[in-house]
Amino acid sequence: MAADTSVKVSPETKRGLDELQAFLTRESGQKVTLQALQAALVDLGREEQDRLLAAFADRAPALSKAQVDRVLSRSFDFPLDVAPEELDDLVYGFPHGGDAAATPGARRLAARLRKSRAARPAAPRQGRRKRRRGT
Amino acid sequence: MAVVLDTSFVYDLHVTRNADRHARAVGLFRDIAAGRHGACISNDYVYAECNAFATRMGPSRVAAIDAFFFGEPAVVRVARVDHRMFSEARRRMLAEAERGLTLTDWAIVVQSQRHKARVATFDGALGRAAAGVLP
Repeated sequence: MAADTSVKVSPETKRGLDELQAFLTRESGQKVTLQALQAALVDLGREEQDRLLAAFADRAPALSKAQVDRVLSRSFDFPLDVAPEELDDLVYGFPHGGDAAATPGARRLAARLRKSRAARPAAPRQGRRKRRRGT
Repeated sequence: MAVVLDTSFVYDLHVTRNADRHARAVGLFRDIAAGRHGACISNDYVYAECNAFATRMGPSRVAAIDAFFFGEPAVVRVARVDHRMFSEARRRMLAEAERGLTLTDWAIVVQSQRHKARVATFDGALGRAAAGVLP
C-alpha cells in the first residue's frame, strides 16, 4: 500500500538530498530514487537514534506547573531506605562494584553446583573420551 | 546544555523515604522542567533498570512502574543505546573495570559525553566517572 504524503523541505535540505542522491548513484552504480533515499535515511535514523537526538538536544522541556505537579504527585513511600550504591544490589543481585561470587545467592548456587557434580556419574565422561579418540 | 537522568535520580525523585535526597531530586526536577539545564535525556538501559527495580518493590511495584519515567513524554527523551554507544560503553567498562560500574552506568557516561551533558545522579561512583554531575 503506497502512502502519498507531501513534506515541505527547505532549499538547503533539498540541495542536501540531491547531493546524497548523486553520491549514492555514483558510488553504488545504480539509480537511487529520492523515495529510496528517504527510506534509507529513516532506517539510519532509527539505528542511530541517540545521534539523531543530539541534533535536538538543546531543546529543553518547558512544562506547565500542572505537568510538574502531575509528575511529582506520583511520589510514594517505600519501607526501605535504599542508598544509591545499593540500587545495583537490588537490580542485579550483587553490590555495586562488588564480588558476585561473595553474595549469599552465589554461595548457594556454588553449593548446588558442587552437589550436582558430586552426584554426577562418571560414565558420560568416559563416553566422551572414547568418541574423541574415534574422530 | 543537557542533563542525563540516572536510575538513582529517578528513584529518589519518586521515593520519599530518604527526605534529604528526595527534596534535592525534586528541586533539581523543578529546575529541569523549567528548562534551566537544557534538554532532559536518558536511554533505554536506564529505563529497563528502573523497571527491573520497580518490579522488585513488593507492594509498591505498581506505584513504582507508574511513576518511574514520569508518564510524561514531554519531560525526558529516552534514546535507544545504538551500536556506537554500546561499543564505547563496553570498551570503557573493560578498560575501567576496577570502578565497578555497570554497562548502564557506562552508557550514561558515554551519552553525557556525546551530548556534553551533566548527569543527574546520587551515585558517587557514577558521578566520579562522569564529567559533570547534578544535583
